[in-house]
Amino acid sequence: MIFKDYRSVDMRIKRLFVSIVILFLSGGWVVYSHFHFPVVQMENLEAPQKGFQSPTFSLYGLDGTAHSLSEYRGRPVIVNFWASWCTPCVKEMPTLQNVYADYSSEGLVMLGVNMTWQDTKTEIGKFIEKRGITFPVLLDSQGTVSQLYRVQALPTTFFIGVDGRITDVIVGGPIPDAAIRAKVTHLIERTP
Amino acid sequence: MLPIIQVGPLSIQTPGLILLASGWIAISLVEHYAHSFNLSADQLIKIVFTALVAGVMGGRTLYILQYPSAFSSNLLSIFLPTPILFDAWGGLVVGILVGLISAQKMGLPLWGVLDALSPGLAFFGIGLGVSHLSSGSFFGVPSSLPWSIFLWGDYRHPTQVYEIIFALAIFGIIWFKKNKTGGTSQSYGDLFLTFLALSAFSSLVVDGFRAETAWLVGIFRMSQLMAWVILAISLFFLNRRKRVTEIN
Repeated sequence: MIFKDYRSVDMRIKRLFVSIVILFLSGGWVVYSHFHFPVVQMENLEAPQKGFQSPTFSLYGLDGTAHSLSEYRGRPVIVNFWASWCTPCVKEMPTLQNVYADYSSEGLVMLGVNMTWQDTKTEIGKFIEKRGITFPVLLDSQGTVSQLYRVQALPTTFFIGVDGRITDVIVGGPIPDAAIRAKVTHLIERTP
Repeated sequence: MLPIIQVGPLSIQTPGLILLASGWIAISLVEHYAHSFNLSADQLIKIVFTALVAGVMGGRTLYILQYPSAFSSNLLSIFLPTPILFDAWGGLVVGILVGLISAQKMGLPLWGVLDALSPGLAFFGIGLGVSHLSSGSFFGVPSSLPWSIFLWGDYRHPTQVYEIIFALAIFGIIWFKKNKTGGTSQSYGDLFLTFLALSAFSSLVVDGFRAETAWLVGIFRMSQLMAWVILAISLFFLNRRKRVTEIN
């Protein structure tokens, strides 16, 4: 009986010792990893992914005006990749236009990047006129910007904060009106 | 990295698909092995689905509360079946709370229920790691090691692969322990606490190689500090339960 009690106490001490060693080593790893593998500031890295700095680009609009993403720094931006033959893009456009009309006075910038290398200027012109689109539509004639943003499906929409950081990426559509408005509200709330 | 699978005109988001598939397998595992823990499969599935429904409703409600003006122009959009209008963390908390309450209301042993869920949770952990690999999120710090992977403009520690390896090991250990000790009411809680301790340890180790993190506490990664606290709590309870079992 006494022997059993001793063995039980012995096991308890061993378990406690092992637990303390595990916690001590884990704590040591937390400190070590902080100094040897420091966290990077994602907003300093450029990538078409949530949390990263939005890759910069310059494109001409349908009216011949040059637009550069960097010129809109300090304002919330929505970049929407679309094509006139893409049904979800077409369905999404009136919502984007309504949101733009409601929030442009609060500083919202909306850029519709057309995949012109898979589209025609005539079709784009007709579409914009028919739908009454007032935000800038940019022509990605060589596909360089869609490649830069790794667009794999249409529509793809990037929400960019005032600091140029991508806060959300939505692949596919049409995005519900409430979702776009919620994300725009979030972007505007974060504007200093 | 494969964030999107293109099937004809359909663009399927791979991480979401992987999470759905692993969640489904995890629920099937819980249902299939409920009897090993002397619990009814029907009751367990009822708890899981109650938690899921509550989580979905809670996540949507919290999202609406955060952005009420976005829904004011069209109130019907509250019911839109889209994951975009969703507060994931809020939904998770609501789901867990409702699941625990419903287990208590059914009069089931809480530790027993948590044990029965552990193999499913461990399996879901593997799916979570694979989904991170497919999306390229939770990426590592730059590295010149031979097994580093090229991601986001640099060769990096494959933290997602580390995560999968740890998750596989955790699943193996939980499975082995389930077969060895599962089912007896004396051991209720051991399996879940072991799962919790191993998961916290895994997170603590892997997050040390991660380049990005949502929050920092002072100079340290919040996720690592939280994992350390969870590890300490689970080890404390594991030791205490062993002690109680020995005294009995």
